[in-house]
Amino acid sequence: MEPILSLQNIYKAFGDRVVLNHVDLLIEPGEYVSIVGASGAGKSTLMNIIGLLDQNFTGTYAFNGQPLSKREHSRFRNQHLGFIFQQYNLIPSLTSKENILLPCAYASGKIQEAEQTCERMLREFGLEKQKDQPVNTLSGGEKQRIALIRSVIMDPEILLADEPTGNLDEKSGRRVRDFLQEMNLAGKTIIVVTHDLEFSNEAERRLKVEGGELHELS
Amino acid sequence: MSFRKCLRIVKNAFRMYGIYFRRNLYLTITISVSLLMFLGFAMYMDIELANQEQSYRRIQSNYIVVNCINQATTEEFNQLFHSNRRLALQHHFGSCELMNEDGEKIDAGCNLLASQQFISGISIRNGMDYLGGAEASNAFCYDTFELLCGRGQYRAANEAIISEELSSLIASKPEDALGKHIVLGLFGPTQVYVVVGVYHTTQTETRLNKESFQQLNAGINPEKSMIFTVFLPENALIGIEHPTDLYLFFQNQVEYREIMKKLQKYDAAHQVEEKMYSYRTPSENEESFEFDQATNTRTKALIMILVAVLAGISVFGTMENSISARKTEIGIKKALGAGDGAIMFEFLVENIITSLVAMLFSICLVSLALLAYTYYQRRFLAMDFVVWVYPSTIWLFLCYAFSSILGFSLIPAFRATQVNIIDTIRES
Repeated sequence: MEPILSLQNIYKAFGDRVVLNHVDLLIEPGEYVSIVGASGAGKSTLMNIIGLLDQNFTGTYAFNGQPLSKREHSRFRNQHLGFIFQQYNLIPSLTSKENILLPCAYASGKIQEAEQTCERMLREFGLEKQKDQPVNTLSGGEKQRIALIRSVIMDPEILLADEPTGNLDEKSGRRVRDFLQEMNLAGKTIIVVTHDLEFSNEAERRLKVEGGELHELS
Repeated sequence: MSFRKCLRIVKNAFRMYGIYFRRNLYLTITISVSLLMFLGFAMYMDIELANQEQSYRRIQSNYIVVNCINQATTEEFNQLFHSNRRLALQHHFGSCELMNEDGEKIDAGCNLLASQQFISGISIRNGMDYLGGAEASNAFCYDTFELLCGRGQYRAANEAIISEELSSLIASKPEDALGKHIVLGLFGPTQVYVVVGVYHTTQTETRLNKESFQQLNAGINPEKSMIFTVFLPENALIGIEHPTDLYLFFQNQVEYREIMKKLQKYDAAHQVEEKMYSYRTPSENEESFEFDQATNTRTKALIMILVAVLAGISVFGTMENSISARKTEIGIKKALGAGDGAIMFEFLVENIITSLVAMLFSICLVSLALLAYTYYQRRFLAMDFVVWVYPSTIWLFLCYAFSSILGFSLIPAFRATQVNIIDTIRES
């Protein structure tokens, strides 16, 4: 099977400090991958490169075997990647629904389908009443659920989660983990960066960033 | 970018404009102030020029403008215009059609712009009516007053009251005012004057102090004639202390040519480098006006550049702050798939909305101020006030508005695309 993501010879340095030293990473479709590592090891940097949030790296990046040009990056993020951030990264002044539908503003088509999905998922996540509230009036758990819905609103093939449970209590953290499991079962590729060993053990494939290199953990 | 995608981004921009309305309002005010500064200056200059043009246009033919008459040259000037020629005064803003006591038209008149204080003709203001240049301090104006009233004795100006009916007639159909009676308390007891001639001046207005009129209306004695015609004695120009312009009108081309010949002869005879006075013909006057018009345009363009530089510093500062404050939002949008084009387009739309609101706001405000100023000039100062905006102002304003909309929108929109996603997400 052709890897859904193929990163080869990735090199990234901040000044003299080499964070990723010619790293190779192949991700199969439908894989659940967790990336662990010590603080400052470069796991978030790797995640940013996987998510094409950081475009200042050397090496090749291919999606379904096709290298992506810089011009395609934003469209690729919009159509094929879903992001779950530790700090939720919602726009405070917008309502829950507006935040969820924000990626749709930059996409062609899909808007009606996305609106239906949004309504359905808000109901499923028990956020129907909060849909027209600005997100700055919501609790942390509610914000995380909004972020989860937003990450899948465009029905992406790959979900990227950077410390998604870092700011949450156990119950909310559990919900996020269940959500990711559920999405993986639905066929989505999941890549998670976490400090939490228990969480990382839920992934079928575990990677460790150490000394600028990427190691497979058994 | 598809049409639907554009629409969604525009909708998004409007939504964000609403959300950041307060911040956008500061920006709108800043841009409005810059546009207001330019519009205010430009329109004021245009009105000044338009009123100047009006006087030029009114005296389009058969006239000569003699400049810089002062005491040293009045004698020569009087010699030049032979002694039996009668000069008539006319108000600065009025056209000139003068009659003598017998109802005959005077063959020549002049519009004298002696000094700021000079006021002649009939001017009725807020019921404090006066005839002639009563407020003027120089002797020439004093004479004018005397002659206007057909009396040899000067009295307080504000004693003159005319009826509302008459003033209406003077303002609208002056010829119908002939023969009408006017109650005046100019020289002692109230007397009734008969109108035998009327200035065609737009200065005449219809406001009266009715109460005063009713009080004065008691003792009617219709034996005096009021003469609105103005004569100047032979030595009238003696005593002018300030340099001035004389606008000499002629009823026909024959007189006009006669005077022109004399002036040219005088010039040829003297051959002096520094003349105490000079004269301008209508064509020269037209050239002079064209020069004024060009100066007006150049000054407006200069003001526009200055205002643009000053406003640019302020507006860009405000916009830079706005972009900084919204870095996280931009970063999130970019992370979620907004390309540079989409971010730029969204900010462009948002800033264009701001600039257009500012433009509309400044146009409305300037128009209101202009209306109020015009009303004040016409109603309270009784001036035949011309409001005119020259095409150059419209073009310059459009250029300025367009460049400010583009500049104040494109540059910040471009700056927005330069926001680094990683930095903003890390900061948040």
